[in-house]
Amino acid sequence: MPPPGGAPAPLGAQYPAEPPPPGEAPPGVDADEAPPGTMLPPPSRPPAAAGALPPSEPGKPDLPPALRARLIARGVLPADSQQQQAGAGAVSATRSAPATHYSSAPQPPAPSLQDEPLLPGWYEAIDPRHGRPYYYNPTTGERIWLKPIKSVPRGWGFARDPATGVTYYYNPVTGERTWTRPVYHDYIHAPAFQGARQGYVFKMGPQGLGYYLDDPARALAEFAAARATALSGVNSSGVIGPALRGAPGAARETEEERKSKLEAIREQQRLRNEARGKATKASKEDEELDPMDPAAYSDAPRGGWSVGLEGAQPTAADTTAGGPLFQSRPYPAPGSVLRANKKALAGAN
Amino acid sequence: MSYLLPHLHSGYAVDQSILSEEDRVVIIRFGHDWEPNCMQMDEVLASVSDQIKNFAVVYLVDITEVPDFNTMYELYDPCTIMFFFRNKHIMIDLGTGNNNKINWAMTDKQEFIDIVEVVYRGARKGRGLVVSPKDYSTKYRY
Repeated sequence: MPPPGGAPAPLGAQYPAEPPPPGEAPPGVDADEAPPGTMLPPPSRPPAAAGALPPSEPGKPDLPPALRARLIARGVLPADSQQQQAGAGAVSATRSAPATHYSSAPQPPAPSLQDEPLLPGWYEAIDPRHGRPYYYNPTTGERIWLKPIKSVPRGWGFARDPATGVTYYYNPVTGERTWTRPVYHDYIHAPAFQGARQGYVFKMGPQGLGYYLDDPARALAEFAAARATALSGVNSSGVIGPALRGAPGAARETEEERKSKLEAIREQQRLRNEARGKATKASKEDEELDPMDPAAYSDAPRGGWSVGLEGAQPTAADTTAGGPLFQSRPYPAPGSVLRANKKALAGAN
Repeated sequence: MSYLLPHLHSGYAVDQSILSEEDRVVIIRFGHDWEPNCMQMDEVLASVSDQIKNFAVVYLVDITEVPDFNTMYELYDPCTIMFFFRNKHIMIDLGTGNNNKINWAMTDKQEFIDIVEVVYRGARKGRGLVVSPKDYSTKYRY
């Protein structure tokens, strides 16, 4: 189904204008929630604006104007009910200039944030089910609700607080909501993998192990450069992971190089374990000696749980039992018994 | 009674009786004819020997007359019954702990027939150990 209006779809776009999976709620729901109070004192709304309005329709409960605006924006209330609102406190659902401003709130960003062009490769379409615009990338096949623009990092959405008109930024994955614009970090140092970050890829890169901003073009360029160096025979330093294949001309790594790689890997693993908080072997030895441990009050050597069992451990079965355990051996046949008897008699004689 | 059943009077006879049977289980009762337990067991054996004659045969052995097997087969009980098939001793899991023999006097004929049938079926399949249909763990007599 071609996207109505909006940007035209590119020629040969493979992906139909399907909305994102139904499991995700459109972020418009989040935008309609109360604005974050973490960075701002709770706004004190002028009570007169809410109470002074008479009910728009007979029989309908008196709705606060903010709630009414939200419902209209969601399509729950018909849009014409807004026009029945009287008074200056009515807030329109469209992104118009706010009626009230709080002096303590930061200056809203330039209104061009909404009009900012999409990142290259992204296109907009309207989801027929929810009626909201969504953004898709035919190259990668991603379909997201949050508008991919350059100013706001990937994974962050922005919306206007309908009550104040101030733009706030929210991250639906982590649930954070801030007034200030989140900053792109090109590289976040992390010795161990600490979870998925949208827009970041955890890898070993030029600045070390950590989260790097996901840039497919740059990654391709880096890979090509690394491949070129591998082909030329120079060992790429500090590359942990599967070796670059397709380099038939590369010199065979010598034994020393392989050993140093193992050392590097071991060192990396140790760092990762420490970052994770895993108890290493050295730290176990440093643990305090229990005062009840015989080693604490006598000459007994300090040991662990399995000390002393090492000799008997491999054979846990009861060795004193005769024959195979829980199994009697059958008697020999009478003929064999007679032969054995005869042999015994002959042997005795 | 014991006069209805064939006796074996030497170790050679025991050996030959077992070797001669290709398709039947050989049941041998080790004991004495005058022993009360053996008399009871012989009564049962005699009455069932006709019914099981197609797949089993019964012999009686006096352990005083034939002492060759007393140590090897540990014949310490007044009455001992052992099963052989194709020159191989068949073990039965009776629940008593001793899988090699029945060393008490069974009184129920049908029980005994069931045991012999199970022995025959298992031995024909090549099993060395068969499981008795009835558990005699509480009836252990030593």
